[in-house]
Amino acid sequence: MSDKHKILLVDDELNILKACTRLLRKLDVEVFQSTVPNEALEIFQSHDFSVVISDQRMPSMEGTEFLTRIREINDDPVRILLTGYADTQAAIDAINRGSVYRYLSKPWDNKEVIQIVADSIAEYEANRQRKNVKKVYESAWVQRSAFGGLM
Amino acid sequence: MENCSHSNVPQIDPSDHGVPIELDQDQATSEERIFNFQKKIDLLTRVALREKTARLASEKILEAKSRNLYEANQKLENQFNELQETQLKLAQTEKMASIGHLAAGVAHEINNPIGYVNSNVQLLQEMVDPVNRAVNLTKELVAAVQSDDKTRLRKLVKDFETQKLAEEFDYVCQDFGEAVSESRDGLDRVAEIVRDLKGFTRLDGTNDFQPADLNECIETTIKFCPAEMLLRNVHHLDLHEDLPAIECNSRQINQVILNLLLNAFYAVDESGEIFVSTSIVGEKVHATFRDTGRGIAPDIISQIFDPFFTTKPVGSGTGLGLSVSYQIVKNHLGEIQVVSEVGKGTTFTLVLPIRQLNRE
Repeated sequence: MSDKHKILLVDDELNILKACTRLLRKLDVEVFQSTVPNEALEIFQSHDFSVVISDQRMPSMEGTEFLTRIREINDDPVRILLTGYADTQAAIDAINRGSVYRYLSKPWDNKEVIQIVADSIAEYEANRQRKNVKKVYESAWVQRSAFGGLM
Repeated sequence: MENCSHSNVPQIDPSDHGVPIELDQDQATSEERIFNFQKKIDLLTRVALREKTARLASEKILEAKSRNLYEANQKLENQFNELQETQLKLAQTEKMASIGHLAAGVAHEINNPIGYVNSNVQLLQEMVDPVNRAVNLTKELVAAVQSDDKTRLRKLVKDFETQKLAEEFDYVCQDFGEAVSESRDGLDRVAEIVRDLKGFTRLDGTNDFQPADLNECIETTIKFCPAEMLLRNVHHLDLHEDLPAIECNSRQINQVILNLLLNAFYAVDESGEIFVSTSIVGEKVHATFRDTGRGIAPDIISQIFDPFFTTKPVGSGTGLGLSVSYQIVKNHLGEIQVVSEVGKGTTFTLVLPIRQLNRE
């Protein structure tokens, strides 16, 4: 189970979490959900997530703020903002600031959600591989320089 | 010029008067007296003339001043009218802005339930196929059992296993019920929002005023309150026996009473009590809803009648209850008063005129 991609869903409306969880079952991923952003931050720190999806308008914390905090803790997971009718501007700002990778608007289309989440997982994978390659390359470089120094 | 040096007389050149200056001493007194008289008359005439000129000048100035004053006044009046017009326009703009605000809020509120209902319905549609397969399989199985066709049975069971149909059916069985009941919740929620919003429109006979018994309105509305609330909390009724019928739209007044009751139930914990009473005050009736609940903090009390203001968790309150009530009561030329103390409780007083005399 642990090799499945983990997705964190945050929305203050439980029925939205349930519907999304049901939908994401198609992707063979492990879904974690929370209606409270602060609780979600705790969940976030105890697992390695590939994708985080958050609602924008929540009473205790705005989605953009939540995703910015997520980014400060760990930049790797791909962040998606779920917005209602009146907060398109917030989504645009968040994308421009780089704190959000994609945004989904309510009401959503299931196919679009699946597509965007699948894309996000691919993005996460690609980033991870890029980082690994970089690491391998860097360590190789360190080894070579060390060897070269020896020579 | 010594003749002219009379102490009381200002210096005037006598030559323009054509009066001889050198006179006989005998005649001098009378001549001089005449002359002096003449001079005095002249002088008085001149003084009078000067006074007249001065008066004319000051009158002119006064006239100019009063014209200025009149013009300034006129200008002020115009500005006042303009200001009044601007104020009217502003009020209209504010009304439009609040309608816009309302529309955006409604769209946002409705998009949440629409979001998950839509998603669930799409998933339900995808379940139609597996359900059909299950039905067909059952029919085939029954046919195979009835005809005792062992080969067919074996094939069907094998298909069932290889196609992992059990897994798919389990998934459908589990999700089907949940998706349907959550969708129903969502639709109820949309209906609730729309119902509350009707208070803002005049589409459903807002001006249908009929005499109604406020006590009866309260008693019937209490019956509509959720049962668990009625069971949980003690509610005391003290209804005035001879309350006159009031001219109102009883459907709307019921809505206001329901809102006030639900708020009271929401505000109290299990040991809380609710007191409802009615009374006559002059040409008006009062209905008082007092609870011993948690009260309203002073910093939010001014917001409680604002549309979409709610202290309930998201999803359980529309935040429209009191603002709709306020609109309804205002439309009835009445008012809603609120007194609250944190930790002690809140009293809402519904004030309604007995007769709608000032209604257009």
